[in-house]
Formats: sequence, structure tokens, C-alpha cells
Amino acid sequence: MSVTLDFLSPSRCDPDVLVSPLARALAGIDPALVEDLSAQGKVEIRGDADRVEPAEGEELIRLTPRRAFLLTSDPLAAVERLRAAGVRAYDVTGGYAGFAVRGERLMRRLTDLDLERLPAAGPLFLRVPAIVLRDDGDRFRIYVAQELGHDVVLAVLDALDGLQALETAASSEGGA
Amino acid sequence: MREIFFPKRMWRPRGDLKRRYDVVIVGGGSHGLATAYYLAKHHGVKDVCILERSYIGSGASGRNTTIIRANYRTPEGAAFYRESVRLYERLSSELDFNLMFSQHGHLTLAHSDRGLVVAQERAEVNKLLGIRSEVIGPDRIRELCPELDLSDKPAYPILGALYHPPGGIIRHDAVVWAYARGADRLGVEIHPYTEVTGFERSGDRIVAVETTRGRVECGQVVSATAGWSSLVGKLAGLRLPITTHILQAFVTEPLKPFLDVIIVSSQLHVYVSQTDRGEFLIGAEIEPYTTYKSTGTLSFLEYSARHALELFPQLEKTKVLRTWTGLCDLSPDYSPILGKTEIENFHVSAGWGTYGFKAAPIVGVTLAELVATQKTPALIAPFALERFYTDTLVSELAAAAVSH
Amino acid sequence: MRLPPQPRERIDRSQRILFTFDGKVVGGYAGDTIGSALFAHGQRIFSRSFKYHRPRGLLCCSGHCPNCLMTVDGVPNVRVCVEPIRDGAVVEPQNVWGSLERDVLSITDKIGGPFTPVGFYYRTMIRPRRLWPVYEKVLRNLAGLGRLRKDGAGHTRYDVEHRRARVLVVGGGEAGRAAALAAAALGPDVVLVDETADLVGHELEGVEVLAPARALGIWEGGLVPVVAGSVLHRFRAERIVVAAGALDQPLVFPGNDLVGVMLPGGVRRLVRDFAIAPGSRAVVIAAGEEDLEIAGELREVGVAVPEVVDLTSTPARRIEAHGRKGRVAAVSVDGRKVDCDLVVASAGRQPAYSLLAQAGARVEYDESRGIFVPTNLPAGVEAVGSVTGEDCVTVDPVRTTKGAGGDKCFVCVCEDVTTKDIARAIDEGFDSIELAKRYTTVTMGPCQGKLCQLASIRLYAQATGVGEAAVGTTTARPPWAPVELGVLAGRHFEPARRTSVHFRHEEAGARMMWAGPWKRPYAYGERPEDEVRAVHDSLGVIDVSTLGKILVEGPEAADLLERLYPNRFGDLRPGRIRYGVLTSDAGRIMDDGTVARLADDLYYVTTTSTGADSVTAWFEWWNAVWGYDAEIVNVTGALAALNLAGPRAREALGRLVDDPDVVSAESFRYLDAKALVVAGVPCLALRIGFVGELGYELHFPSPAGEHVWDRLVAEGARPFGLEPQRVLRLEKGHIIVGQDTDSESNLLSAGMQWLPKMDKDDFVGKLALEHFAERPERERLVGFRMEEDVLPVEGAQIVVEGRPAGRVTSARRSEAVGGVIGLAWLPPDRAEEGTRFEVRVDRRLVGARVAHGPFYDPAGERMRA
Ligand SMILES: Cc1cc2nc3c(=O)[nH]c(=O)nc-3n(C[C@H](O)[C@H](O)[C@H](O)COP(=O)(O)OP(=O)(O)OC[C@H]3O[C@@H](n4cnc5c(N)ncnc54)[C@H](O)[C@@H]3O)c2cc1C
Ligand code: FES
Repeated sequence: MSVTLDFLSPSRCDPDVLVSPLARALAGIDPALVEDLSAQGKVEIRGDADRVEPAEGEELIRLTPRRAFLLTSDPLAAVERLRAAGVRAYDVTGGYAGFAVRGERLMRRLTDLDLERLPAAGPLFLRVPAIVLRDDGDRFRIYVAQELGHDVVLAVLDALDGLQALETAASSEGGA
Repeated sequence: MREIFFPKRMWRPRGDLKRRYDVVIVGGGSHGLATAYYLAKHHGVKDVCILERSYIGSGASGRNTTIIRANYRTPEGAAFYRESVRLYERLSSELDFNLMFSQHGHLTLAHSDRGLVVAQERAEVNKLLGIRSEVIGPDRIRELCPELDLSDKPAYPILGALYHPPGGIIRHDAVVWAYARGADRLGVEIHPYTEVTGFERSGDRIVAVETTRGRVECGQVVSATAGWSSLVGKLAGLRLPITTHILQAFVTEPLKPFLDVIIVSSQLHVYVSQTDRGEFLIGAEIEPYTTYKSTGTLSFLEYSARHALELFPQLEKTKVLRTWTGLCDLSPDYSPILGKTEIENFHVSAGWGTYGFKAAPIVGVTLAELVATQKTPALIAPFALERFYTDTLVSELAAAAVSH
Repeated sequence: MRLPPQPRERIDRSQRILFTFDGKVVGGYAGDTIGSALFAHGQRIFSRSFKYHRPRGLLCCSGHCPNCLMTVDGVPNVRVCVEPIRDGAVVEPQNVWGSLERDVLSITDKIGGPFTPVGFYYRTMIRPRRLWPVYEKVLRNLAGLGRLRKDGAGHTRYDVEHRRARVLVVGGGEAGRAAALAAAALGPDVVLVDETADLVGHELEGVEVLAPARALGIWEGGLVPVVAGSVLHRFRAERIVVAAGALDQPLVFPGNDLVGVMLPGGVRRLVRDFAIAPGSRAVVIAAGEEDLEIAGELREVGVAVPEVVDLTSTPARRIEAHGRKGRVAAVSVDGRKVDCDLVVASAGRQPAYSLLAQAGARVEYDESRGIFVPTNLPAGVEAVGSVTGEDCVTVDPVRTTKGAGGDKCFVCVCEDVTTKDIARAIDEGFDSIELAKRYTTVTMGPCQGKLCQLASIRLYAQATGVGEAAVGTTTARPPWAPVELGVLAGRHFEPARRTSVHFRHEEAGARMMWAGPWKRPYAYGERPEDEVRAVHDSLGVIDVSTLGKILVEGPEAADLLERLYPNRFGDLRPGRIRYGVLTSDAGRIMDDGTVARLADDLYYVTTTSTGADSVTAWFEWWNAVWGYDAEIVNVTGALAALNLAGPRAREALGRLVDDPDVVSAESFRYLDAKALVVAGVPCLALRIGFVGELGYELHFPSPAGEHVWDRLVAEGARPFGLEPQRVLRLEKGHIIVGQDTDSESNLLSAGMQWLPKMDKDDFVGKLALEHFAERPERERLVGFRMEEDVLPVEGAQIVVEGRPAGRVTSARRSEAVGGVIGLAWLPPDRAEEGTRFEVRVDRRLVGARVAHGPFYDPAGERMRA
């Protein structure tokens, strides 16, 4: 009796029963500072990524020649479409915590990646593996293994705190 | 004491190489020098020369973090290192040179249940072999090292430790110089800046050694070249199951006494001691890649600093003064390769990884015995190169993480 | 005490700042350093030397030399000459025995000489051995500079900033500024760092100026860490321009360390930056034009300069300083005495090449100028200005000692090494610079040889007659200047992996513990045995989301697994599960877990909690070699996994699925893998029984972790932690890889002879297993029961004739079995069922007997129910 990969997809559950891995770390935090994107659909693609046509609103991030990551609002449909096209695709939505932050200065305190050459992936965001994207301007999105998400986001908040402390210090020094 | 007022040369200036020596020792580190010393002292074999490519102690012997202990995991290993520690305890007076052996105890921290089990196993083996070693809890740790952060604040709270009272640190250069002086005074010739570049073989024997200063014939050869072992082995046509990695360490500026014991954390891959000069001596794990290039890395410094502060947050403003690297010759089972090889008169001391300094005296005693008598002493029989053919390894792996 | 306003002074005379020094209040101005304020206040002795406790005063005023080390706000070894003044700072002298002015240990300077020559400690305190600890204690207390506060736990927030630059210029002197401006004219992203405060507030067109900030070195891949306050900037630059300048070299002559003997750079700083006259009557002894000019500069601010000695003149001059109470009072030049309270003495300037040397440049001796210059710069690294040797020249710094009697001549002020010490070391046979460095500790002090490397090399060259080039320098050992551990460490960040159910465990009061990289519940209460009982008698649930979970999919997935595992997976039917053990090439046990076949071309592999990453890498590595058409996808984090176990498991699960029939004994058999929807969540349900009771392992999307957990608990499942799980597993005799096995364990000795299928063509480790089968066994893993109710520790030794002959790897007290049970490695001849052996427990030997097979429910009826 075969079993399908349905059990990978949070989208098959009632959304009310799902909890973000960042829920506790970000409770009470202004989303303008750190925005939780964990619920966003993520599909891991194996094989020839050239054969993948991202649909409207989807983003394809190539990790290696044979591995790519698709951000999508509808992972079920994406997996179905890709599989029909003969591409091996896996709904890994639950595997990653995602969040967005603003500011190059902050990012420079968090990652060794070249901010001019994003998206990129590697164990270089607070020394944990991550996929990092840059949107227009200075908004960045970061995806890390969900099991590390809580601690990673706490560190991001700490870095933010440090920068604010710095800015206040700088403005009070202004007179000298 | 006399030599304070009447300085005397430590060793003769380097002379010319003779045409032949009964024993040629390659490598002027602690192992080579100790072997020469005991050959002359215990066996009267004095027609010995030491060939060293640089200055004596220029290899790992002058770069290590000098942790001396016997609390190994395997009965074979523990019994062997136990003898070495005993020799070290008497060595200052034997060689009439203060080696500053500071035996304030050695603590291997456990931050997890798994860590505790490993500690227990070692303690049990050690106790049976008469080695002082026990697992202690946080209260006892606090008594021995009140400075350690024993709260649950660190990421990896400390659950217990393997305590080994005789563990200590020593002045590494002093060990090298004292053996060199001892050997020299017994007639051994030391030839620094003399690199071995090849061996002349006749069948299963080495007949001569080629060096940058000419050829010398030899009765027997001992290679005690640690990080260079596989290269020197290769010159002789011998393959050794060894990979060479670098290990880095650093010291801080000197401070007044703060820490008496040696603190080792395998989980954090860091160890910390304070030397008699007051410097904190901090080291980590070997680099995972193989290389002979002795350049240090910033990531090592960052990593070790981070982990040292997990243990001692008070050190945050303490300043790193200098860093360095040394070569480590790693064997597959983290035990040494010691004694005879398939080349009849070519013996090795190798595979010392990050832990060979503590073995120098016992290596010297046993290798000297082997060279003089042609019989392998029982203590080192388990460490023969042959074990890799018979697959009877002596695995120190469980204890290996930061196993200096 | 200040001079009239100086054109470039850094102080703001309108802003007074007060701090305490040695308990007394001292004032200075904003812009002062603690050192400059103290000097202006009249303080001349700043420290006591390392060995002889001689008084020492300001020397370099640039944060390099050891003379101004003090304890500031509890932080030892602060170079006060560059430490910015701040209100309320508490400044204390350090390493003084008595006071700065009167240090009882300066007795070693007066009479200690003959007793404490270089390396004296190697020759003394040897016998009797039992007294060494006493001597040592004294030595330890004498050594060391400042004292750490034991409670001063870290409160500073450190951070790191990852920076990129097109051009990074290190050093903000003339050459550095010019290089930066030139680079900026060609494009953006030019950064200049300078360790002094000189450039603070300076604008350089198109250049980002970072100051005071110090480059520590040039590391792997051109990485340049720069410390600015409590932030470490890790620069990666396309071009690195080193403009580190040159360092004033002290002159060696009797009394050259007296308070009031200063380097030209230090004197200039005091006058120019802080408007302080460093003395009233000065003698200038220098080599280069620039340094000799200092005489004019001093006169300009009203300092008398009765004597200027140009060292480049021949013949060599004999210099000797005379002191009174440690302070310089006069200098004799070729025997002629001149009264003074300041001696500006310098042998010239030596390129500050350390950064370049550490980056891989060679350092060569330039005979004509008496300096070491960097050559063969590595790609991407350039040098400009004095660091290249430009405008640098030194006279022999030690020739001024010739024929001198009198006071000590210090080669190394950090370590109190004198010319005599060096001479003695050479006589004793320490005849190479590397040996000498180690024996005399010259160059090993806080300045890292910046002030003594050149002098010591030249002394060596002269004494051994081999020439400076042959003596060579000692290896450059980073960092360029001492750096706080905290800055290197950065943020305190040791992330733990947490399952999606983690916070439920915390809320339930579980004691969390590290299990590999994960945090997991040890148990939920004080009595883990209650949790064991719940599983046996009723129902329990454990969070096993930490298990590695790997999908292997593709037409050749079966072939891949056949070859990776010693046992067979090609014949496993879809919907069925089999236990698998991975072995290394050397036949050693690496990891274990269950493998479920979900479809013809799809397998679901679980690994141990620590094995997910390494097993994935292992699979990928082999598949890269073999090239099967199979994907390996690590979905560990994507899925939560809960194990529901106990006699009531079926009934409870039945209530959470639409149709209870799907979980009936007939339709969901032992070792079946099935798709289920549990509490509205799609699950892969695996019917396995590793805790010995009827059990289902549910794997489902991790965001639903808390929901499914809550529903199972609501059905009466009692949460159980790792400790009860250990007991349950042990009752079944299951091994735990890494606990019961080590790096040498193989399948045959671990009692799993049945597992490898030696008739398979090939699998990883097959050759090694064949060899094991031929050779005599060394040890074997077996179960045992203790004869008494005592619990051996894990790691306890099995003793045969007083020697260690085996070891206990697991041991627990089991209510269900009634006694203490465990697993142990034994010599093969003692591994037969029922054989008695002895275990050492708390200093005595306790009997135990070998017991093969599961201790609990040996026929496995309960888990198959
Ligand atoms: C950073 C570091 C920390 C360490 N910490 C510890 C510790 O705390 N405790 C501990 O017990 N061990 C420690 N070790 C390991 C220990 O230092 C070594 O295992 C030990 O010193 C080896 O001694 P040796 O005499 O065999 O080798 P070495 O001292 O390395 O001597 C080998 C000599 O052979 C010479 N040589 C090589 N090739 C040739 C040739 N072709 N011709 C002539 N000569 C040649 C080399 O120049 C060298 O001097 C550490 C090692 C390092 C690098
Ligand atoms: S003067 Fe500083 S180390 Fe010698």
C-alpha cells in the first residue's frame, strides 16, 4: 500500500492549528522591525531547475545546479504542477522559519554574505545555514531551519537592540 | 643552582657530522631528545646523533599547550600515559632543571548526559589502573574553580566534570632543553639545522641517512618527527596511516593568579589554563582540513574566544597577545604509532595528534629500550603500526574531542 | 601645568573631567587620555616593571609599550596613554607591592641581580620536590600584571559587522591618507582605519574614516578584522593598502628605562595633542633628521635643550643615564654629564611590518639603513609610506652600550631583559634568535617585540658574528596589538534546535537537556519511573521530532539503499517498515533507524537524533560516487514526530481519525507505514514498537506540532521524556548508537549477526565485515542483570583478575523487569547466556549475569498486539 507525500504539507491542515516557529520570539514585536514570514509556502526542487517556470508571484532561488528553492503562496499547486512537468518537488514549508528585516547595517551585523549579491545561501547568517534574499531597497528576507528559528530571531532582536543603543549613544555624543 | 653563579653551556656548539652513528634520531623535539637521553643513560648507547631541520623544539614540542595527564579512556592508553606522568613528576630533579611542572588538577567538563557517561567510563578505567580520577558534581567543581560560570546562564550549563588531580601543565621548552642538555652531557650529538632529505635502503634495512649537510651511515634509525612523520616515513619508503592537520592556540596578556586548574570542555571545543607567567593559555580542536601550512585563522580566534567566555565571562576584557599554530599527526584511532615498522632498523614515534607532549618521557624510555634490546616493551606493544593490518585499534575516540 | 593652547591640541579646555587615581581625585580635559591627564597632574611613575619592579613612566604614548598599564574600572592591563578620559573612572596602579613610588620588590633590582639572572627559575627550586608547590605559588603571585575581578562577569554588548570595501587603507598618516584619497578619486567604497584618535572628526573626500580603530591582522582570504570599540568589523577588501608607518626604536644604554627617558613620538604627542611640556630640561639623542628636530620643537614650548646628540656621527657615542629615585636626573655623553629631567632617545624608526609579514610578505634586512623591510607582498596587498622603509633608518641601538658600566641596559622593557641577559643566554648555548626568545622571553611581552625585536636581533648578530640577515626575525604572530577576547567573541550565541512542540514541554514543567544539537525533555517530573509505568500500563507520548528524516526518491532509490545498508531494502514492500543499521567502510556502526517504503520509488528513512545531517551527507556522498537516479531530501525540520505508545494507543488513535477501522489490528499491522489524518492533520503513521508496547509514530507537518500533541495529551497520553524512554528501550534490549556502541563497534560484535546479508553483491562495509568474521572476536555486546539491587554507572568496568576486561554501557533499574538491567561489552568467552561476571561499583565488585534477548516481553507480543 503506497503512501503519498501529503504528510509534508501544512497547507492540508486547518490554518488555525498551525503555529509559527517564531511565534513566541516575536510576540509583541512590531512587524516593521521583524516580520514573520514562516507561513509562506516553500518548495524544494531537485533536478534541472531550468525546466521550472515560476508562476505569477513565485520566486525561484537556485541553490546548486541541481537544487532550487521555490517561494510560493500555494505550495500544493506548485508541487502538483512541477511534478506533472517531471520535476521532483517537495513541500518543505514546515521546514523553514522565515522573516523580514530592514537595514544594511543590521544585516551586516548578522551575515557575512555580500549584500549586493543576493539571493544567496550558506551557513553564514549568524553562522547558521540560511537563504537570504534582498527586496527593493533595504528589506531583506531570511529563511532558516525552523528548529533554529527561535534562537536566531532572538539574536536578531538583540542586534537591533544594539544598534538602537548605538544610535542613542551617537545622538547624545553629537554635542561633543 | 651552581649554574646560576657560574653559567655553563647547556650543550656543545654544533660540530661536524661523523661518517657513521650507531643510532640516528630524526627530529629534535621532545621525543627525539628523550629517546637519545635514555639510550645513553639507561643503555649506555652513546654513539647517537639527533638530526633536526630547524632549532631544537621548533616543532610541536615548542608550540603545544603542555597539558599532562593520564586519564585516558582505553586501559592500554591510560596505563601508558600513567607511566609518563610518573616520569614527569621526577623529571625536574632527574635532569636538574626546573621544568615548572604545575600539577593543579585537570577538569574535563561535561555539559550533557553523554558527556557525563564518557567521563564516568574514563574515571572507572583510571581507578582500576591506579590513576586518580573521578567524576564530580557542580559543588565540588565550584570548590576547585570558583571562577567558572556554573550557573544555568551559559548555553551549555556544566553538569559535572572528570577530575584528575595529577593533571597539570609544564614549561615545554624547558623539557626540550633539559633533555637536550642531559643527552649532550652523556655524549649524544645534537645537530640543529640539519634536515633529513632521504634514506639509503638495502632491502629491508636503512644503511644511510641523507641530510642537507651530507650523508651519514647508521645502525638504526628512529623517526620522531610528529607532524612530518608521514613525509619522513615516505622518504624511507614507509606508509603511515597519518594525516597532518594544524592546531592553533593563543595566550593572553599576563594577569595575576586567577585559575589554578586546567579546564577542558569537549562540547565547547576549548580548554583554558593559566601559566606560571600569568598568561591564559587557550586552545581548541584541530582544524578539520589537512595542511602543512602553518597560518592561523581568524575564525579559530573568534570561536575559541566565544567559547572561553562561555566558561569564564570575567575574561571578556582580557587581551589576546599572540596566536600560533603547530602541526599534528593524527592516526585513525587517536592512539600513537610507536615502535617497529616493516623496515627492520627504522622505528617510529608518530600519530601523536594533539596529545603527544605528555608522552615524551615514556616514549623516550620505551623507544630507547626497543632500540637497545630490539624487543618491544609490553607497555607499547598495543601501539604497534601492525594494528592497522590486524584491525586491533586502540580507540581513544570517545575521549578525543579536545584531548590534549 | 599646561602649555598655552597648541595649534593641534585635542583637549577641550572648557570641559573638566574628574576621575580617581589611587583613591585621589584627578582632573583633566575632554580629549585627554587618562595618561595625559595624569602626566599633566604631575604623575611621572606610571608602573613598576615586570621583574625588577623598577619605576617606569610614559615612553611611547601610542598604546604599544608596557609602561602605562593600569587597572581602570576593574579592568586590568589598560594602556592609559591611549585610554580616553571619562568622568568617574577609577584608575589604579597594578603589580606594585607597596606603592608606585615605593615598591618593596624593587629590592630585586638592587640585590637580586646575581641571584636572578635570566632563566634563574630553571636552575632553582628543584629540590626538595615537595616544596615546589610552595615556590610555585610565590612565583605565580609575582608574575602577571593586573588582577582580574573574579566577579566582573561580562556585561559589554559586543557585536560584529561584516564589511566589504573596494580599498581598505590601514594607517591614517600622510601616506595612508594620500592613498585613500587617490583610491577614492577612482571609485567608491574606500575605507581608512587608524588606531589613533588623530583622525576623529576628520573629513576625507569620498573616504569612510574609521578611528580610533585597529586592524588586527590580515587573515585567510584577505580578511582584515578591525576593532572599533566593542564592534569587530570584518573587512573583505579587493585591495588592502598597509600604511602602518614606522615605530620608534628605543636606544639601549645604561639606565635607558629610567622615568623621563622617552621616545620622540611620545614626546611629540604630549606637546602637540595635550599641550603638556614633558620636562623642563631635555637632552635629545637621536639619529634621523626628523627625530633631531624635536629639539627645536621642545625649545619652542619653553623646554631647555642643553644637549643634542646626533648618533649618526662617528665614532659611536657612549651614553649613560643617571637616575634619582627612578627618575632621570642626568645623562653622560662620552663621560660628560649633563643634568636634565627628560631624555628623548631613539635609535631611529623601523617599519611596522607585522601586518604584512603575517599576510605572507617576506622580511629582509637592509644593511645600509639598519632596518628590516617587507618584500614580496602577497597579491591584493600593497604598502605605502614608512612601512615600506621609506624615510626609515636606524643606527645600531646597542652600540651606545659599548664600554658602559653602571645601570642595567634594557633591551626589552616589557620583560626586563638586559643586554647582560642576552649575552649570558648566548654563552649558555641559546645561540639562535628563536631559542633566545624562548629562553630570555625577549619580544614576548605586551608590546610583542615592537620595541625590542630590532635591538635583540642586532645584539645577537654582533654577539654571534653571523650578521642580522642570517639571524632573521622571529615569526610574526598575530594579532598586531592585544585585543579583548570579548571583541573577538562577538555576540553570545549558541543556538539550540527546538522541536515545534518545544514550548509545550517547557509549559508542562519538563526538565530540558541537551541531546546532541537539540534541547529535549529529560522527564516531566521528579519520577521518570511513573512515566515508564504509564507507557506499560496505559498510554504515553514522546516528542521524537528530533529523529532525522530523509526522503529517498527515484527509480533507483532501492538500489541506492541496498548498497548503503548491510541488510536488504529492495524486497521491502510499499507500506512496510524495516530496521536498518548503517556501517562505515571499516564496518563500524554509524547510525541506525527505520526505513519505510512509501512507494516503489520512494523511501522514508529515519536516523538518530544527532544523525540527520551526517547521514544525509553520507547518502549524498555515496550517491555522488555511484550516480543512481535518486534524490536525497532531508526533511527533518519540516516534520514533527510523536510516538504514541502503550496498550491504549490504538483506542486513543482511533478516536482521532475519521474511521477507527483504519487503525484496527488487522488493517494496521506491526511494521506497517500508513497515511492517516489525525486530528485533521495529514500524517505518515509508522507502527513500530521500540519502547516495547503497542505504538504508532506519527510524522506530520511541524507547524501542527502543538496541535497534535495537545490532542494526544487530551486523549490521555502521558508525556514521557528521554529518561523513561531509555528505560523502556533498555527493557527491550535495544542498543543506542553512540551510547552502547563506539567508534570501534561492528555489527557482529554488537550482537546483530543476523542483520547483514553477506550474500548481497556489495554494500558499504561488506569487506570489513568479512574480515571481522574471520578474525577472533575481541569483545561482544550483551545484556545483563545485576545480582543485587545496585546500579552501576554507565562506563563501569567489568573486572577479571583485577584488570579491566569490559564495560557497562547502559544500566537502569526496571520496575517491569524487577531489577537492574543493562548492556555491556564482555570478552567473548564470558558472553554466554547466564555467565557470571563482576562489575566494579563504588569500590567493590558486584556480580551480574549475562542475559540475552529482550528483558521485557521477550516474544514481542505486546508491541505486536
Ligand atoms: C597547538 C598545540 C597544542 C598541543 N597541546 C598539547 C597538550 O596540551 N598536551 C600534549 O600532550 N600534547 C599537545 N600537543 C601535541 C604535542 O605537542 C606533540 O604531540 C609532541 O610535542 C610531539 O613531540 P615530538 O618530539 O614527537 O615532535 P616535534 O616536537 O614536532 O618534533 C619533531 C621535529 O622533527 C623535525 N623534523 C621534521 N622533519 C624533519 C626532517 N626531515 N629532518 C630533520 N628533522 C625533521 C621538526 O623540525 C621537529 O622539530 C599539542 C600540539 C600543538 C600543535
Ligand atoms: S619590549 Fe615589549 S616585548 Fe620586548
